[in-house]
Amino acid sequence: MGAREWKRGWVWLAGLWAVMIGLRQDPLFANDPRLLLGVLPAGLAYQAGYTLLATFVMWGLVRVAWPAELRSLEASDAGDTTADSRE
Amino acid sequence: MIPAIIVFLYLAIVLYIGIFAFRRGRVSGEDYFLASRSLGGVVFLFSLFGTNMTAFAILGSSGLAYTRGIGVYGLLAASSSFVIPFTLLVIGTRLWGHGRRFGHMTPVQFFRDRWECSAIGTAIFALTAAMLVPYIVIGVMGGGTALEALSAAGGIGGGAADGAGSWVSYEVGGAIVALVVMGYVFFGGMRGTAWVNTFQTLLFLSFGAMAFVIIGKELGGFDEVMARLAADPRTASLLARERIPPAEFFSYFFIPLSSIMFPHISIMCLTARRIDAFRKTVVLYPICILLVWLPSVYLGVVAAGEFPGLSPGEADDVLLRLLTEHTDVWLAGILGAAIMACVMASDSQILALCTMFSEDIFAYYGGKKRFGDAAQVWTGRLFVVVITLVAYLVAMAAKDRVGIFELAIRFAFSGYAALSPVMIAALFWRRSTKWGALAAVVWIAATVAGTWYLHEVTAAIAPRPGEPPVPIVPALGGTLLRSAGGVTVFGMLPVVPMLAGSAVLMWLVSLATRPPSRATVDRFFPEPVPGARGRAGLRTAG
Repeated sequence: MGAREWKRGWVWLAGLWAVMIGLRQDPLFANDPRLLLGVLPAGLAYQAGYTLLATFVMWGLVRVAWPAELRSLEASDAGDTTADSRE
Repeated sequence: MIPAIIVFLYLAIVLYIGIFAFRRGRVSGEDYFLASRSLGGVVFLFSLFGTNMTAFAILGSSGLAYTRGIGVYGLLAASSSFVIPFTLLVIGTRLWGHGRRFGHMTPVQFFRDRWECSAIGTAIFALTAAMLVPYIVIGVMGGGTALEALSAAGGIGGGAADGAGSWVSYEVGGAIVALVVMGYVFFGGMRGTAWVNTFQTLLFLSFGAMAFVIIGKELGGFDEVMARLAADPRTASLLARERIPPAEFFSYFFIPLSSIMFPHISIMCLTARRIDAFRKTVVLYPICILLVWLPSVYLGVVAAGEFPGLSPGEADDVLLRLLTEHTDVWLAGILGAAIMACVMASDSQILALCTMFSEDIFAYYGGKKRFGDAAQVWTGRLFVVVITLVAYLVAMAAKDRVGIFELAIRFAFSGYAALSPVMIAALFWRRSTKWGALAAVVWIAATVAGTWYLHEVTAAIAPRPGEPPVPIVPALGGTLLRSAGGVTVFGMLPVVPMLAGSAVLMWLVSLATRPPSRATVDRFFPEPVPGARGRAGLRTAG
């Protein structure tokens, strides 16, 4: 991955955080006491929907931002301790 | 008595799973502390989720919803549903990778290697270990209180305040819970703890859903309950977010950054057999949060109509009250066991502390080399016994001061969250230095202590719940306020300035100090970003 792609990736992630923070603030139903279907407060339904949105966001992220290069470590044994400063 | 018997049966099952069900012959250090990095996807998801679900998620969230309304879900659950899986994807997978490559078993080992410095690892060890201890103490306290309540002659709330009406006292209940947890952590290590957490998660997910349906039916349907709450002016505001100011709501978004910085969570990230275990966990984590938190918050609001007038402390019992009043004794017992599952979340914390002691102190200072792998495991086990015993004694001595430990945990959440820039810098910023990390750690320790001090000295002017916050220093206007819950900065939780200060110090001090050697940086960033070397300043390092 080039430096430009790397930087663009971080800008995208920062943008995603800004959007998710903004959506969670809930400008629409935060102070709406109405009940959906007579049982679910509108604000609670909105936040539950936000959680489902987070699921889809994560589903998308594991596709576009998955650290595939780490897969190569699965087969190798742990403990490349040659340069390990623990002991 | 039946609920208590079911809970004891549950404790016996947990002990069996932890000690015997997945026992291996010879136990090496890596096997005992990390289950030989062999956990599969399903166990990894449920054990990680179960480890993150403390008593607060079930009992505390209901109690908070009782006083502050449905906004409690958005306050912590909605933010966690995005932030926790995000950090598992971005940070957890990289920690797993470094663990595989370099054999790290704790985050402290990673920090020591990454910045070529023993002292920074020791400083982070001291801070994270100190912030973990209150969780272990409160786990024992919660166990004692829950067993005492579940064995009360007249059900929850049926016993006297001093426990006279219960056939299991607080002291005995705490001892039983401490012994059970100590038993399976001692013998089962990470493998036993992970399987117990998986069992516990399945228990409170399945029976929690069942309780929700049954309680709704017993109350005559949730539509009628909600209509009554909406019609009553005292409870109507609970159906919206009126009782949570927007600035405070915003600042809670950053609290779940603490999750990945908890030693027991970051150590658990090292236990996955394959990187794909993270994939399932990251995607399904928000669903698990929805399944646990939505019923808990909803029932907390429902309880406001059923049991009006409870104080904030008493409100933590509302879920237990709903269970005993609206389910039969058998189901109440099973659900009591599910609640015990949450209360007993201290197992992973005890194991994490013991892993850190064994690896970051005993092995690091030559104990493993001198006495061997088996001695290290036994040192870890001895530490489990010592830490459990100390936690039990503190829990007994401070029985009536549970608020102190709850307060410590609240500050610890902010402290761990403010440590996240240190981890991000270590993983992704080649130019980060040990001095930057040290500056951030000192800042976090000072602000945690300072916030606690401000909280204590302003206790006398603290407004009651529902009343507006008051300025701590009138000349500063709304900068520093004291609300019923604690100190706020511009109406936000202290975690926001703590996090910002930690990030800025990490950045500025790193730029002003000498970076790690080129060999170390290349070791942790094996495929350097083209063109980034000049900006990273490695030439000066050489």
